Amino acid sequence: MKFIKGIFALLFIAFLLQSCVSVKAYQKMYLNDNEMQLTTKKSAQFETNFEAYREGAQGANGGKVGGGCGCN
Amino acid sequence: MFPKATGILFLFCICQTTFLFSQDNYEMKPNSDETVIDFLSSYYNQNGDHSPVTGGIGTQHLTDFATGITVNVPLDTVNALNISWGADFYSSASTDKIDNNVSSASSSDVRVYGTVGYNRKNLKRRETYGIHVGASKEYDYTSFDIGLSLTKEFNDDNTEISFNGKVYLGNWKLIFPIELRSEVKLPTDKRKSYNAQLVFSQVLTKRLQMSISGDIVYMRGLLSTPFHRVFFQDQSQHDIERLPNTRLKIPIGIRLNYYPFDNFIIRSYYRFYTDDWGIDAHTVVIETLVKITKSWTVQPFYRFHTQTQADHFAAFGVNKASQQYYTSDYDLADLHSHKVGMGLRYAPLYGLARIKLHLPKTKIFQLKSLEVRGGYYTQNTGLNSYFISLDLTMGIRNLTGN
Repeated sequence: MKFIKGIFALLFIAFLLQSCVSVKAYQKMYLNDNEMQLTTKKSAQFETNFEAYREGAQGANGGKVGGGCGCN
Repeated sequence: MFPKATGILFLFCICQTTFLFSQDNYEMKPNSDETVIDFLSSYYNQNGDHSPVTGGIGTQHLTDFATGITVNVPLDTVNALNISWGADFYSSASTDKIDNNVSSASSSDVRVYGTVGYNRKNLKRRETYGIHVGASKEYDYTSFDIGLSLTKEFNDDNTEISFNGKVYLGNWKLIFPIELRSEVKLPTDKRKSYNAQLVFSQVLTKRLQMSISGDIVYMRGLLSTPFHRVFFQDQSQHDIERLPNTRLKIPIGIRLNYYPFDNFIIRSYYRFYTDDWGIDAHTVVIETLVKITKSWTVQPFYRFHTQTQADHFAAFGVNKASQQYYTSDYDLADLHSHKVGMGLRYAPLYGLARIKLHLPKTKIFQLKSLEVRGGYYTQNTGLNSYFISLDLTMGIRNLTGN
């Protein structure tokens, strides 16, 4: 429960921060790098699948969460 | 716990709606004219000694060769199609134990799947709407899914909120262990899964950005695996795995990507997971990317995962026949795991190769990048595996396009 509270606290801080940051499009050369994308890498897609099959926890990473296979 | 977490998430949504009315003056980027194709392939080899098919003991040897293709086709500046399909070819020493024939039909299987999605942008409102449908088929399980998505960007594209909703409708072909086929029954062969995801992304500095992702997943129906066996303390007649017919999962993930120096990137990820089967889990991933030249990138990575066991899990011969629910599937056990590996990406500025296509409109076909990734995964339960994956990215664009 403490971890959930901590995560939502972080989320609330991010919510406050968003009004303070304004990086212009021409300043985003680092942020727009392919490797800076905020998603699981495509090359890691199948790893995410076998982790979902072999562990009891899934989700929040673009992979399987529930459904689409006979896995739990 | 779940009503509180849901309430806080709802409060977050309400707070964020204030920013939907903010006075942003920037223009949302339209689609580029490039069709992007990703060819993915992977080989996976696993070993272990806790097969759930034989009650939590026995070989877990499995090999899987997976391939997939994803195509993103921009139809114009605001409409796009996304199509993906693939197949997994796997052989499993443990599923071969469903019946008594070694190397029978149950020792291998193929799973095929496909998804078609459509996205449309509203450049003035800075919103993207999406819909997709998909299907998956393997010998004993068929699934259909449909999903909707809505993405809103604001604050000069420094902030983005995305909502995804998805429903899976699945059907088991009930295959029981051969010795129990005349004795066991299940009330249903269907499974439904309802997924809702909220993602909040935020630029923090010119070199640092983060995202927070929260899912709520509700599953209902046949959630156990019909051919998993469970053996009891009193050595009475064993049974198939029996699990509750509902499950509520809540994973929450945080990503933080940082570009501290030229040629060096740190990608980090943390996930907390909880569900009403008693599993709480923590997952941490660290990837460092080193651009050794303008074209070559080396990417070592490490992942750690730990989870508590599900309420109804027990090892071979520990469950009691008097229990309503029982499983000896070590995926639901108290475990921790480590994954370590390395990736290598080659992405020269003008691609690996380029060909001019003389179609009604002259186009350029380009092999844009090649990435190879391999690693080793191990659990304290004794399961270990190695894997190698490949991602070849291609593009087709107009000769005079961006």
